[in-house]
Amino acid sequence: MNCKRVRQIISLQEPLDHRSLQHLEQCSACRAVRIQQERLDTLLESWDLQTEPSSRLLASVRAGLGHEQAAARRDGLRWFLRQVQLPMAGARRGLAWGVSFCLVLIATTATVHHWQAVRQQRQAATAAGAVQELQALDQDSELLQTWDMLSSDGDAGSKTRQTYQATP
Amino acid sequence: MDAARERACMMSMKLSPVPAAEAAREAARSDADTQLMLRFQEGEETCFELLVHRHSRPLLHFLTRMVASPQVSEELVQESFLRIYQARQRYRPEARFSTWLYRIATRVALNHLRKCRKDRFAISLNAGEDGEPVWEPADQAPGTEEDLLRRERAQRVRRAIGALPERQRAAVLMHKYQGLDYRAIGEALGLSQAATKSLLFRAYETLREELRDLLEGGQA
Ligand SMILES: [Zn+2]
Repeated sequence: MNCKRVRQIISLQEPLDHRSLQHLEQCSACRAVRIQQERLDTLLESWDLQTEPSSRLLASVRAGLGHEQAAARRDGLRWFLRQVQLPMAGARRGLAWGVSFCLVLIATTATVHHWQAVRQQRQAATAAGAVQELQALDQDSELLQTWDMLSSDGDAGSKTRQTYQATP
Repeated sequence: MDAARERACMMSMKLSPVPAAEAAREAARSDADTQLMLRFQEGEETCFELLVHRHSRPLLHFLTRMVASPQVSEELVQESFLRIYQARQRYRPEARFSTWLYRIATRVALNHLRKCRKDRFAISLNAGEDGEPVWEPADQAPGTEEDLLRRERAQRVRRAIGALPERQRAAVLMHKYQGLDYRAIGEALGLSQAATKSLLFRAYETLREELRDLLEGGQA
């Protein structure tokens, strides 16, 4: 066993085994260290503190704990409010989305209805126009027939007809 | 806290069923302070008050020696207990309560010393050659030659320990004055047992060297 190991055992005040004791018998330097360490132990004990915790210490620990507990309660309250506010915020967001969707739906429906109405009106107008055209054609046809009947009686009539055909 | 409340708190203490674990863990679990801490975790605030009551004095002495100021050390005791209060849910009964307590207190002390160094307000253990910081009122009182010698020796010890590197200082204080074992000291400092032994060995070697004249003169 070497000096360092023995001195470590001595310094840490661990029990000396047989080999350490054998080393000490042979090594005067380690024996001196052992004596010095024993004296050091006694010397260190001279730094004795008799101070007691002041009443202020215990009071301040209690005050600190009170503050801590109050902070914990505040944190708890904040947590609760967060928990309450979060669904409310969610609800508000949901409501906003819902309203927006409804507005878009209403606008889209109104636009579609408007265009459908316009198309129907146009279609109706077109149909009415066709009927009027047909009626006009019928009237023209009747007129032509009457015209033919008139023109078959004289040259003037045929001349006029020729002129009519030449100038469309 | 009065004695009756303390007794009631201790009497009503139920020991948890011990699983087949290591002896050290079992010892820690059956430790009265550990049981108090576990009950405090469950919401019994009076158990925490009892822990403060039981540990404030040794903790005050440890921190006073560590930072060399009784006034500051009271604040650090308070901070240590507040940290324990805040971290109560993180406590696990694998280690003794005192080990956990000194781990937190050592961190608080080391943080304070580092902050002091940073702020250039380093606390000098040699401060006040003409008027020592008020460690103990008795130290300042005139007395016999024996008293004077005792005061001088204490002052030399204080300076020698104060001159140690902070971790060595903490280790010596926990080992010599708080009676903690290597495992607890190692846990408090975040070191293995071997590293703790090595740290302590170096610290005691330094102290023997620093105080050689007193040791060889046989004044100790
Ligand atoms: Zn040797």
